[in-house]
This record gives sequence, C-alpha cells and structure tokens, in this order.
Amino acid sequence: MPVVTFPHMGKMELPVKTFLREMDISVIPPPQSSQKTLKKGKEYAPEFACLPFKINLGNYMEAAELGADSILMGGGFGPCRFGFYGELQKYLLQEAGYEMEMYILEKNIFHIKDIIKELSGNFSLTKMTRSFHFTWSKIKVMDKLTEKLYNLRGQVVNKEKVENDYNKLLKKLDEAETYREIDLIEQEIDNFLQIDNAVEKKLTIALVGEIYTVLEPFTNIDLARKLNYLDVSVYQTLTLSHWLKNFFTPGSGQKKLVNKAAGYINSFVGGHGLNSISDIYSLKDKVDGVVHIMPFTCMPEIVARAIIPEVIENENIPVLSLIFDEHTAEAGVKTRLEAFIDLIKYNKAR
Amino acid sequence: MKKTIGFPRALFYYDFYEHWQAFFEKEDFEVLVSPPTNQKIVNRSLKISENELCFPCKIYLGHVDAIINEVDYLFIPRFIDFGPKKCFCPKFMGLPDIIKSTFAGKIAQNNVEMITPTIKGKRNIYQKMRELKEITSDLKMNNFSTLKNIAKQKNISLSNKEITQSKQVQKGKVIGVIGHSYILDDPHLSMNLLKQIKNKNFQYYRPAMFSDQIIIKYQKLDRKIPFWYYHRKYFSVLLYWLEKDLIDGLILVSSFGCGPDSLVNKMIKIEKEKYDNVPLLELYFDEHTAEAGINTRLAAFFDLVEGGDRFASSNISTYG
Amino acid sequence: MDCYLGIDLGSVSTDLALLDSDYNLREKIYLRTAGDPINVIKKGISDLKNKINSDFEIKGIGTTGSGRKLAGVIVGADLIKNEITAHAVAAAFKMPEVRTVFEIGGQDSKIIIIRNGVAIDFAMNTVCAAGTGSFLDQQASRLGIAIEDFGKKALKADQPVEIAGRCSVFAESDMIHKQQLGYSQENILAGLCNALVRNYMNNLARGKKLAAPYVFQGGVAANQGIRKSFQEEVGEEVFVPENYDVMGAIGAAILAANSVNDNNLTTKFKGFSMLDVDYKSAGFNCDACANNCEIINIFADGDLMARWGGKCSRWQF
Repeated sequence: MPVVTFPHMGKMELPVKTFLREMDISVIPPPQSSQKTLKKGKEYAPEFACLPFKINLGNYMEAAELGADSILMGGGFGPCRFGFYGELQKYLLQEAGYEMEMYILEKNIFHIKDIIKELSGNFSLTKMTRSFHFTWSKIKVMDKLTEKLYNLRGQVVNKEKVENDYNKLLKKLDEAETYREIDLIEQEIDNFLQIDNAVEKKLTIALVGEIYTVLEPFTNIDLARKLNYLDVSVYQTLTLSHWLKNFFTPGSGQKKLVNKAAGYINSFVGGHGLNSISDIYSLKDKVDGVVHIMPFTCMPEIVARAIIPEVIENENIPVLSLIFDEHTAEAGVKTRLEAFIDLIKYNKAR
Repeated sequence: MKKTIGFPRALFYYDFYEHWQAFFEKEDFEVLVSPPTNQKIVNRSLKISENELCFPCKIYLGHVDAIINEVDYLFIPRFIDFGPKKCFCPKFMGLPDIIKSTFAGKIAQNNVEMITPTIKGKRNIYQKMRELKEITSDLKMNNFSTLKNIAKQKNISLSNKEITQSKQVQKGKVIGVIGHSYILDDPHLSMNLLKQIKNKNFQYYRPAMFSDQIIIKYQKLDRKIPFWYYHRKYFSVLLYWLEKDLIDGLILVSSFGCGPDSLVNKMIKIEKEKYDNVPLLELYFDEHTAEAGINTRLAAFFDLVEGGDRFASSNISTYG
Repeated sequence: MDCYLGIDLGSVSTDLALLDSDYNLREKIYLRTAGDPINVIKKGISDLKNKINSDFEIKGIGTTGSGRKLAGVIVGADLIKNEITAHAVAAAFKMPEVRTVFEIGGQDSKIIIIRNGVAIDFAMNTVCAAGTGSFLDQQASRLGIAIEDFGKKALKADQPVEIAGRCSVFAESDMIHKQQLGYSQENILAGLCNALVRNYMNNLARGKKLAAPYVFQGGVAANQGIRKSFQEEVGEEVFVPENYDVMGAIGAAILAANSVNDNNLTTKFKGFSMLDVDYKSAGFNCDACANNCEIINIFADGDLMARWGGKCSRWQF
C-alpha cells in the first residue's frame, strides 16, 4: 500500500489528512516546514525557482525520511510556475536519490478519481464524494476559525488566551469525525472569546499577495501574528477554501475581480496578481492599510507590484509591499511593519 | 496627416513585428519603431521600471519611454495564450497595465491612446487584426484579405526553414541556441552572441527556425511538457535536436528573473544529461553582464565543441 | 535643565543625541558598535556623563536602530521606536516642509516620503550592500584613501567614469577594470558616487513620489560627492542637515519627549548608576520544535532581566 505525503501550505494538512483517512489511504504528513526543510529543498532546486518550490521539495524529502513513498501534488497549466512544480520536482527527487511516486492532480475530476482509486485500498465513488463533502465542511469551519483569530487577536490585550482557544478548537476540528462535531465547533467559534479587554485603538490591515506566502506562516515569518501583536487586526480575502475553489474552477470570478480593480489591471495575470490589485482598490475604504507580500521572483505579483505605486498615488491608501526569500531577516520585516503602522497612525491622527 | 503608431523594439517585436507593420501600413498609419537598444535606453529602463521585473521587460519600458512623446498611439497587445497549454508569461499578460501605470503621467500629458488587443485562444494573430477595428475607429480594414495573404506567406516561409537533415550533411559543427528572440535578436542585450558564433564559422540552430508543428509531436509524450508557448516550443525543439543528433553543442540563453526559464532550463539540462557528448553553456544576460566574461566563456565553449569527443562531458561554469 | 536622550544602536555605529526641552541638540556622541552592543551603550552613557554637568536632568529616553530593544532594556527607555519613524520625525522637525528624505547609513539605506510633516510612504534596503556606507568604506580602502577624503576628491572629478552594476560585487569588479584602464582616482570616486546613487534610486525610489525639498541624512551624508550625485539625479538642491549623522537618535529623543510629556510620565531611565551594573547577553537555540528559535537572555548582575526571540510563548519572560 502506498504511503502518501503532500506539500504543506498553511493549515492544509488538516483537510488533506481528513480526506485521505476517510478514503483509507495511509498518509504521512511532512514535518512542519522549517529552515531545515528549506535547506534540503534548496540544495536540489534551481537557484531562481520560487520559494514555495524549494520548500515543497524539502517537505517531500523530510516526509520520505519518515516513510512516505508517494506524493500528491496540485497541477495546472500556467501561467504561474506552480503548474510545472510537480513535474520538475519529480525529476529532482530522482536526482537526489529519493524513490517516490509523484501524482499530479490536474483540474479534472475523472483524472483525480483515477489517482485516488489507485492509492486507496478501498475505493468507491460514493465514498469519495462523501469524503470530499465532509472535508469541505471542515475547511470552511477552519477558514472561519482562522479569520476570527486574525481579527480578534489584534483587538485584545490578552493575545495568548485567544491563541490557546484557537489551538484547542483547531485540534478538536482535526479530530472531528462527524458533521455534528463540526457543527458544534462552528457554534463555539461564534462565542469563542468575547472581547473583554480591548486595545485602545483598533487598526485593520488587509494582507494580500501570493497565496502560498499569505497562507504559510513559515514563509511570511508569521506576519499575521506579528501584526496582531502590534494591536492590528488582519483581514485577508485569500483562504484555503478560496484556493481550492480556484483550483477546481479556474477563471471563475475573474470578471468580477477585473471590475473591482477599476481599470488598474484589466486581465488575469496568473496566480493572484489580479486579486492583489483588485483587493487593494476595493478594500481601500474598509481597512487602514494593506500589506502586499510575495516570494522573490513571483511573476504574477511582480506585475501587481509594478502597478501598486499608481494605485497608492491616486487612491490614498497606504500599501507596504514585502518580498520574501530564504535570506529574509525577521528583524528587517519587523522594522518595516512597525514603521508602516506608525505611518498609518500618524496619518489617521492628522 | 498620417497618425503615428508607436511600436517598442522589445519583447514580441522580434517575433511578430513584420506582420503588424504590414497591417498598420496598409491601414495608412505611420509606424514608429523605437531605436535599437542602446546604453541610454538601458539606463532609462532601470530608472523607471519596477526593480523586480525581468531585464527584457525593463528594456521594453525603456523603449516605450523612447517614443512615447512622438506618437498618437501606442501598440501594446496583451498576449494571453495561443490556445490551451500555450500561454504567455504573466508579464506579457499584464504588459498593457504595467505600461499604463508606469507612464500614467506621460500618457495623459501627450494624449496618447493605447491600443491593447488581447491575443487569446487558437485564433491566430492575423485574425486578431480584424478585431482591432472595434478598438479604434481610425482603423479602416480595407485590405484584410491581402494582409491575410502576406501573413500566410510569412508563416509558410517560416516552416520551410524546418531542418530535417542530420548534422553530418551540414558543413562544420552546429550549435543549438535556446533563448528568447528578444534576447538573441537584440545585439546589445545578447552582446552579438549569434554573430560571434557565425564569426567562428559555426552553424547555429535556434527554435525560431523550426515550425510550431514540432510541438505536436512531443505533446503526445507521456509526460507534462512546459505550458508556456515559448518554452513548450523550446523544449520540443530541444528533444528533436537531441533525438535526431542535430547539434554538437548547446547554448542556453536566459536573463535573470525569467520565471519560466528558471524551471524549464533545469528540465532542459536534465534531458541534455542523457547526451553527454553535447557540451553545454549557460549564459545569463542582464545589466550586470560583462562582455569580457561572456567572451571568455564562449571561447572556452567553442574549443569544447571543436575538440569533439576529447573533452566531451565537461561543462563550463556559468559564473565568474 | 530638562533634557531628552535618544540612542540609535545600529550594527555598525551607535549614536547618542541629547536634546534640551526646545529640542536643540546639546550633545552628540558617535561610536563604533564593533559587535559589542552592550558595552558600546555603556561607553556612550559614560561619555555623556563626563560631558554634561549636574544641572542636566534626563526626563525622557528613547532608543532606535536595529538594536533598539536591547538598548531599551539596558538604559530603561521610555520609548522604543523603529529607525524609519525616528528618521522621519527628526527630518520633519529640522525641516518642516521636507517632502523626501534620503538616508544612507553604514548598514542600510532608506527613503521616506513625507507630506505635511507626516511620513506617507517609505522603503528600506537591508539586503544589498551596494546602497550603503559599507560599500563606500570597502572601495575607499581598496583605493587606499581615507573615507573622510572620499567626497572631497570625488568633487574634483572632471569626467566621472561609468561603473556598471547594482550589486557591490559587480560594481567592484567593474571598478577594478576601470582602474586598470587608467582612469584618474577622482573620476573613479565620482563614478562610485554615481553608481551608489543610481543603485539607491533603482532599489528604493522606483514608484515613489519624489518631491522637493529633499533632505539627505545618515552617516554617508558627510560625503559631498554623494550629495552632488543626488542633486544631479533629482535636478534639485539636496539639503544636508547640520547633525545629519545622529538624526535617528534625535528622532528617538523627540519621540520619547513627546511620549513622556503628552502622558505626564516620569522617565524609566535607570540613571547613570546603570554604568555599575554588569549586563550580559546569552543566547541558545530552543529545540522544542523545528523552528529552533534563537532565544536571547539578558542578565543584569547575573539576574535575568529580559528575554526574547521565541515564536511561541514557551520562553516568555
């Protein structure tokens, strides 16, 4: 029986594990992404490949050491490089001496079915549909939970308490085996921690940019948490459910995004470059500022980055654009965030 | 008075200019092409462009800057794809928006109108010309059929160049050069690479000499080949060269910051490894590239190709 | 007399600025950090103590720079502020109508866009050495001239050479090449100034709304050659404030004064008796998870007084 692993992206581990378990597929998630992971991946990845590519590769290698022999990876057909990751990573793993089978999930439900069937010891189509449904309901609750955390932790004095409550609920969600349990967790989110001790002035910052960097705290040096600890609530339109929807129905919602971008960008440019500009423009009156993040050399977000100065100039919204790579130092990010929040506060006070 | 339409001499200029020029001239436009890349344009490019853009993209902005004060229209098509799995890179997709943001002031000041047709889908670029009519009322579209013929002839002449002979028939050694036309055909950017190869009495093959038909042969393979139009072709052409034993050496030309190159060139190198009698040279061109360094590496590479099997498997370092 | 102290603890240099209640600079101290931040702070405070007489009373103290937190716990700061804000505040105080600030220090460089006395946009470069003072230091020593003479000599250039490359490695190799071609030292120096300013502009100023009046501050502002290159680049006069080299510290002092006075606080400054305390820092890597956070402990006479570096609450002090 194949032992399946997958690359990390934020909290994606939870739903993937749920789905694979439901399908009777044995799974070994890679250890949490760390500097060690990156170091491993970097050794075999091309120098100018994007950061997620390198971390993925390290994830596979670390999972292989724990006994995984098969990889589930997303695919796609551009223009973002992500669609070509799996194919090249397959060859790089061979080069590095790892014997692993790579399964690239393309945006085609029949193709996905065939792969799951091959991996599962006990496959039926009804079971797959049911598992998918169950997993999806977990993802939705998980996104809601994270949204709440990012919002609340920026507003309260006792941030650890919010974190503890969050972690407890997340663990419960991970272990949930019935719809009933998931529903109960969802109810708990609604009354999980009332704001008993709020910070003086509430600021909200939107986090936009390349989705892996936005969702993966290891890559963005825990940016949402850092902002929350500076008493700033964080709002983001990119979530795991958003990514999955986009994966299965590419191109959906693009027209709406173009409309929302008010002429600053008139086309899909791969990845989330269009979303970035569209979010900055459409959130300008709803948030106090925007932090735009991307991995070094990310093509769609470079397009966004080239347009952002014009949006700032015309729309009077503060935007901080940060690039992350393996050399990014925590101290530098912190300094910029602090200065950015000062800038917002002083401008508000004026 | 004839209206002037500006055509920056960069990026897709090198692949598609002739067709568009014929088209616009038939439509009674004056076509103003920016001058060949020079140091002044390069310096200007670096100053006005977003720092993270790849070098060829920055150069494009420099070329726009060079003509924007003298034109009525700027012709900046938006290249999305030539059908499924033949897409362009995000920077081609967003080019009109990048230009609009970067030159917002000058566009307003000079009252320049941007013509930005979207190139998408299997419809070829010539059909697209017909749709342009809707974009600007100044286009009259008198001679569309003549135009289509020009286009057709050009296309045919391209595929005629397809090379099927094995290299033994060729006189002298053949070097395969894989790289974007906007680098290879820009002598300033590529430091006259192609000319240098010729001067050494080598023949060269490059993807532009081969018809797009070649992709069809390799997309049936049981593997995922690159989905960017240019790279799909490069990779197919490479497999063809190696399979048919058409080349004695391979030069991979790239620029720092090219996203697709960063992955596809690795894949190309993996394929080439199977043929260790073909020496490989990787060259990067951008604002840091020093001519002396390029020449040294080229000279060493030429020796390898000349020397044939004697030095066979050694490669030359990309840096230093 | 009431006064306010600002300390800018950077990795290359450490500056102290003492302001009176009208924010006039009374004393300034400039020291090399030389990898020993704790002792350089003590040295700075001790130098200050020797310079001022007893009727100076420190009513507020602010720290800034990459070592702001460390400096803050050791002296007992009323306010710990990032160096971008500190520089912006100081520039806007010295020249209220300023709209663009160029700042180049030994370890990093910044651009700050100011409108109506408030920062509205900024960028900071910490990765690339080509836009910082250390690049000039390196090249000066390579050419065998004192860094103090760099600017003066560069001003004498009649035809600055073109030096390519935004990266210090590339620029250096090109400079050597030009040297071998026989260009005069003055023209090479001016070329380096132009290259640094060009790199600075390409890295930091792209997409920023540059507008006069311009202020140039930070340690590198001592270099007249760089100032000239900036002026040529923007086509406007570029002002260098009198105390360009301690602007970060001045900003920290102003911010501390505002904070103390606005909230009617008494300063947390530990007083000069802190000079007798033995401060030590010790770090270790936590191995509780794969993050392997580097945890820093700060001890005062052997007692743990501060700790940071953890991503979770495990080592919270």
